[in-house]
Amino acid sequence: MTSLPTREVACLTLETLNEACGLLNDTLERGEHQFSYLCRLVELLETDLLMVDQAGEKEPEAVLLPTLELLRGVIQQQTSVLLEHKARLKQLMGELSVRPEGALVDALMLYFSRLFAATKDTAWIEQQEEPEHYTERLVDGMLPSQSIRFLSGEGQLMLGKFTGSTTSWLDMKARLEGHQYWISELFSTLPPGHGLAQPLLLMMQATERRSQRVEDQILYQRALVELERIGESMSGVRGSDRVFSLEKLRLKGLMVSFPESIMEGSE
Amino acid sequence: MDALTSVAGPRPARENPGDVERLEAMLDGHLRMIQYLQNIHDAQFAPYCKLFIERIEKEIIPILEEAIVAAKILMAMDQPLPKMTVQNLNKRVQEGLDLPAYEGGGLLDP
Repeated sequence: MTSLPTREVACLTLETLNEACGLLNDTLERGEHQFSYLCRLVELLETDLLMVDQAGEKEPEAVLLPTLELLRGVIQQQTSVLLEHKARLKQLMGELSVRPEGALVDALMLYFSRLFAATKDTAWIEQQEEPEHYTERLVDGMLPSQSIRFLSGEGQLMLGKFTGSTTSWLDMKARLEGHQYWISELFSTLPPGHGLAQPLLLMMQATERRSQRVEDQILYQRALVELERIGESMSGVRGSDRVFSLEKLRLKGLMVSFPESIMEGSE
Repeated sequence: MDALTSVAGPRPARENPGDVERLEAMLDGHLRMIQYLQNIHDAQFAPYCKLFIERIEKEIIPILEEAIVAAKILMAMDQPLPKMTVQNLNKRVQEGLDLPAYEGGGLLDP
């Protein structure tokens, strides 16, 4: 059995390493985009929730802002790790091109060993027929592959649906349903105990509470129209004026007008 | 998201149609009672009849009229109503039903 000359092995290793670095670079680039989509979704969610609170002339729930901070904090922490990966990867690629056998390359390779393995594993899992049956390695700075798939697909598309101003409770209801959908879908992609899971769950509960308030407002509006309709058909019936006027008054007391939306960039 | 812009909710619980009939019968009985009392001209009873008529007109008839309207609203609603409104209307209906009935008012006819 003949062995390859040392020089050829080194070249092959370098080529493989460069290829792996390229793959990792693409993955990190995508990851950065996904975190930015997630940040944007959270911003939109915050705007909508605060708008509902503002309409109710109530202070935001004491738990809302800390929960948002927690969620943003987790995203920021993960993003900063990802950016560190990117910086070190750039360093590694630079070193490979000038001093491929230097000590720094070994140190950086050690740094990236888990990330390389995770990336390769995930790429392999995604090629399988039933990827959900495999457990991927989770590393800081990288979202689980199912989360990435959701954010780069539906999550990104949903960002488009949240553009435009919200001018009615009906619009707001649709938006909150959209928020509930993305939170729920993203949550379902996370393994138990993932850093994003708890704040997302809390945000889901906060969104549900506001969604109920918005539905109540829609119900009041529709009930008022309905009372007007029936009131007209019963005009002249003794006692109807008293009943209708009082019930309409009570409904109006519960109704709040939709807050004027603040267009982005108008401030 | 666009498909989700309508509020789906349970339809309101329909008020018992029998309530309207019962309340109308009660109202009819009270109106007949008023007519009956108005036809009593005996000086000995007339002041009491007047007081009785006033009490029926002020304290019973309006409540029954409002109860009938409330029961009809509950039957006519095509949209779900807020819980509070349903409770208010049901309360009005119940207040009417709780009044003393003169369902035999027809017997007072001469």
